[in-house]
Amino acid sequence: MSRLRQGWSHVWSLDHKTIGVQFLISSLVMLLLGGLLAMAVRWQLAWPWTEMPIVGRALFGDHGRVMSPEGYTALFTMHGTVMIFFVVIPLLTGAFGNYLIPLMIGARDMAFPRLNAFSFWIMVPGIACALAGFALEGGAAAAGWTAYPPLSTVLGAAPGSGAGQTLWLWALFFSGLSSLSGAINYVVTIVTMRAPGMSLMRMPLTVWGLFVAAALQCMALPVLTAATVLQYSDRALGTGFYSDAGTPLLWQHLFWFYSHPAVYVMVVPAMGMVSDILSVHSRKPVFGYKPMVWAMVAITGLGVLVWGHHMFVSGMSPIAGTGFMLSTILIALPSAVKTFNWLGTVWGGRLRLNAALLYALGFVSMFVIGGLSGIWMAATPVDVYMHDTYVVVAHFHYIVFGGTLFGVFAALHHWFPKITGKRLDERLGKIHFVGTFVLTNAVFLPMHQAGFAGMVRRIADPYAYKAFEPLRELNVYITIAALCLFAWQIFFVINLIKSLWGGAPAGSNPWEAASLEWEASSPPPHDNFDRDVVVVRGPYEYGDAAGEKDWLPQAQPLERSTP
Amino acid sequence: MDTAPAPTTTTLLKLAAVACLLAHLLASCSEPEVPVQPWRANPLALEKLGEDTQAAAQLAQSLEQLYGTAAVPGGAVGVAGQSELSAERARMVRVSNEARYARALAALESGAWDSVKPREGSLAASWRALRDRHTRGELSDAALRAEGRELHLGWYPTLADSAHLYRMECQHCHGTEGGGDGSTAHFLKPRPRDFRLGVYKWTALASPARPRRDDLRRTLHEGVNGTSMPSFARLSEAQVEGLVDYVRLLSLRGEVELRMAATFESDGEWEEDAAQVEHEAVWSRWQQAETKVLAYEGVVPPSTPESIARGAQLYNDATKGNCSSCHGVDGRGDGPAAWKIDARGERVPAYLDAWGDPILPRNLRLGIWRGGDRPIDLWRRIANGIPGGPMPALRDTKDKDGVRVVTDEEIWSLVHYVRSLSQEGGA
Amino acid sequence: MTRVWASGLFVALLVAVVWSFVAAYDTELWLPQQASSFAGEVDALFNSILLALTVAFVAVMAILILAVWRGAARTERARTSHGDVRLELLWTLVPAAVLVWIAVAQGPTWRAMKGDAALLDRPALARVEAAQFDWRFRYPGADGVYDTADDLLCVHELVVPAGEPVVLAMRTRDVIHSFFVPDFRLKQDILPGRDTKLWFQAPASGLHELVCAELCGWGHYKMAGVVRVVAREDYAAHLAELALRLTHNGTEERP
Repeated sequence: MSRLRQGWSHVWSLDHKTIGVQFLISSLVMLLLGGLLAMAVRWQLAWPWTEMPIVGRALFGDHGRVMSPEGYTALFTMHGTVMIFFVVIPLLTGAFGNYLIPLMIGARDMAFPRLNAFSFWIMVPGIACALAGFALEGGAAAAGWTAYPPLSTVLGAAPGSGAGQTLWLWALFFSGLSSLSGAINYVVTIVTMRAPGMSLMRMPLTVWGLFVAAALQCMALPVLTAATVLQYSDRALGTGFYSDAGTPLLWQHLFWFYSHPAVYVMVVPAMGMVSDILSVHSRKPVFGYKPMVWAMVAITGLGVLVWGHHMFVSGMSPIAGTGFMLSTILIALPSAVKTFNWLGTVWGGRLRLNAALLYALGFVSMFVIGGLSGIWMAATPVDVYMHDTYVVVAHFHYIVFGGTLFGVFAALHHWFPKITGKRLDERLGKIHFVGTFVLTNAVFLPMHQAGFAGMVRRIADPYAYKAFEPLRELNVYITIAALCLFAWQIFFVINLIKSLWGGAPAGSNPWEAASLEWEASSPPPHDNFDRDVVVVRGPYEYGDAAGEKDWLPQAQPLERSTP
Repeated sequence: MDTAPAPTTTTLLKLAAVACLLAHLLASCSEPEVPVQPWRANPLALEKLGEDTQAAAQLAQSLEQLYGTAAVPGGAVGVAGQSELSAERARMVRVSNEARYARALAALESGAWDSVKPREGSLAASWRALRDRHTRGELSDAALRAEGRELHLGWYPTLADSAHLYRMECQHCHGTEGGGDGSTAHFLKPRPRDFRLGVYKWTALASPARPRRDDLRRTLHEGVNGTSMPSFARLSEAQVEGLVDYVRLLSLRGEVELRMAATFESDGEWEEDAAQVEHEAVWSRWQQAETKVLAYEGVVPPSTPESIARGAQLYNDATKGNCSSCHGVDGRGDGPAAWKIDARGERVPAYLDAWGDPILPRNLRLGIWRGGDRPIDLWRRIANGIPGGPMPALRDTKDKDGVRVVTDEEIWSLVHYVRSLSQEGGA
Repeated sequence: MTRVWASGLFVALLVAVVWSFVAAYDTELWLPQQASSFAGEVDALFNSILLALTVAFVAVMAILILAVWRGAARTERARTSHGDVRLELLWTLVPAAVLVWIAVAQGPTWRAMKGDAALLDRPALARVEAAQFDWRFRYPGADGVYDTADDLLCVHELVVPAGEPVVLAMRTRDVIHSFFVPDFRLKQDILPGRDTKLWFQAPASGLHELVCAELCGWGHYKMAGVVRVVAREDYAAHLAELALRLTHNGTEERP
């Protein structure tokens, strides 16, 4: 086949590894875009109504080179939407889920390869819809990523509530289709295609995390899809699902019924990956494997019962409020258990202080901060104050950025050799880690204090409120730190490019890791394993009881059986 | 196994130093500016000037000479209106300044000079001058405290200060020249006011007068209920007065521009001093505002069932109030005269306002009053009509014998009836 | 990377987090003044939770730092331990106890904030009308009934008497807004289509900013208001002043 035809058929590949890389590329590109949107938001918060350098003239030339108030609402709406639906969820489930699940369970591909390719390609129109909003006259959707009606349903309520909001609904629809197809695939694959000897309790926690997240997606996504269909109907067909007395609350219930589990989808796979990475690079088994599994299951189960904690001040009955308070308080427990088990994993380990481990440790420390601040908001009277303030912003950014994104960096360093056959540069990785770690905290830590002072979210000019005038300097510092943080990512980009082209070659198992994916060569061939595998032990046999070296591989490879 | 060498301590330290330097540079460089958009010519005026670029340039120059530029507003005529304030008003400004600058005043009391950081341009400049004198030893601590305090309490914005505030608060709707063409304006109905026509709907005056300071201040304080113009009562009294000055400047400039253009269109040329003459003509109308206050001589009659019933009669009587023809028999703003069939056979609003936008009669049942919710405000709307729109002045509406169709007292009945439409037990 | 650097980074994080809270405590970067009857209870709950969180955070970080410090220098193989049931029980039950305590402790404060049913049945002192993008207020006037001819209307500033429970009936003209007074620790979303009731009691006179806390469009940032708490007599005087607007005949506006 000619190179061109080869390349072309590669694009439409049904191989889970290729599809995983496709998700990875699209997510990283969207991460760049989401970050740029955040930079614009931060600029405005530090120096409202001033001209942004370089892009000010280009983006807002018609508006006097200055961001408009309606433009600001579109910016933070799309920042949230892009990051949640087109970066974090596809990164964890689409990229790592796709790549790792078959390899880690000893399968040769996903259960439904065509559905798998579909799950990637159906996300592309979603991205197109999301981005197309910016080109519209009314601008992109501007009702927040939460899109509460009537702001989102009444066409004149906001400039972005016209065609921009319709495109937003389509974007969610396509993204939902993508996620749901992926989730079905992962559940079926994990349940039916594990290699012989790979019991559920011998699966690496990465797989458990993805399994649990996929189950959550299956349970909750249809509700979001239904909610968006109802919103579309209200907008286009004049129905009244979300209007008239009290029923704007219906959207809130339906939306959060999905979007709260979604935040667990956005962190639990990262938890799984971090568990594995900590174990491998501490040369020590995961502490408390079974409790870790049960904790993930508990988070999943409780995760569908807590959605009302986003609505404590919405006018819900106080009794419902108490119920949600109880379930929310409870869900802190499995996360606490996991945190202690991570500590138990590294305690007494023989640590390799490489980039992967450092990012994983960064995940643990920052997930703890984010998780602890969540406990304030579980206590309803305190949440009444903190709801819609910057405490919430600090909380979820610590989890998603300090947590998940650091977990992703760790995972990229850890599995890059498997995916490409080369190693990422350690030195650049450490430089990237140090700067990102320091700057992430510099950006999001002060947001707690801003929230304590009462600074609310989603305001284009905080200083229009006298009470927030003292927060000017704080906001300037946060913005400068954010700009530096954004710029610092260049080290990761350079590392990626440099290593892709000229990285040191990696063998099939540069980390001496025990799980199944390291049986395959780097990168694995189309059907993953050279030989059939039989699993004879768990994935975490490291340490002094693990034979001659300090580890034992999970599988005993069989010679390929002849038909 | 980790085969790559760990970065040396020195490399990391170097990187950290560079990062810190960068951050410090960013933090210490002067604050980003709110850009100043220059004032552009009104397209309506340019139209009247035809292709004559020389005339356009001449006009621009005259306007600049009279009113200054967007960067330096004022010119020959524009002065901030502090001297126009009554004693009571000046006192309110001082009280408001005391609240607004409470933190600065407290810092002055405790001698924390560095914590006093005014954001208003003229105030910051004056404060800097005081600090410099203090540093040079020309001012004692006590004197700095006293003068600093007086500076803050007595602050009245310059036109440049107000222009800056306008850019941050008003420009995105009202546009750079006050033409109601900011970026947000595109999405708003009704459109933000275009000041350049010199037409103001919500005044206490008999039309066609230019508003008093009080009228513009009322609009800023209360907003225009039912439109996108919110209340700006969160601004201090000094800031509000400054915005009144600046809006007046924009309005004067805009009106003079249009009148000059109209003169050129009809005469093909200008007299010497034409701009000055036009300015005097328009400015005198602003100055006469105080003499045109429309008031009711006497005690405002209370609302009674009889008055409301009389009002209902007058409302529906075509020879009297004739209100139902536009506002509809139920007051929903759906009367037959409000609509017409256009050339394409479609039902469109029958009237355009002075700015060329379609306008519909108010739905009176909502109880949302743009020009003020006091009974006297409604009385003025009915008696004087609303400039810039089709609402007639019932005071000036006469029958074929030259007799007024409704008396002032009857207008009160109409007010009572109209108010009852949005009230408990109303019609 | 040497263990000094690695541990050092996490030590720096621990120090930075603790310092940022300690340095901000009770400054302008902290909770504002307590101006309502239950603000003190809310803050007490906030502070006790903060204490628990601090203990947890310091403990976790200390273990992490120590694990890194020791593990990075360790040469012999790690112990192949898959877990310890007693430790699992310990760190399940202890956090569970703390969490249960928080759930129980917040109960009285929550009830105090919500008020009992009888309280909310009282007639509303004022009606709050939120719209894009300002706050308007309506008092029922002498007849005590809303939407009658003697209603008193004002914009931006809500005046309420000190030292007694104030009930507000809130409605929105368009989209969802939220009535947030930071000094009162009070927040309530206002949904279209129905009146939302709210109560508070402010012990002392003062001026408190009213913030809209639910995205309501491009002007969400401009939607500032003010709650002015005054003594009972001054409140009556304020109402009398608003009532003058009803009989204003415009002659005073002439110079």
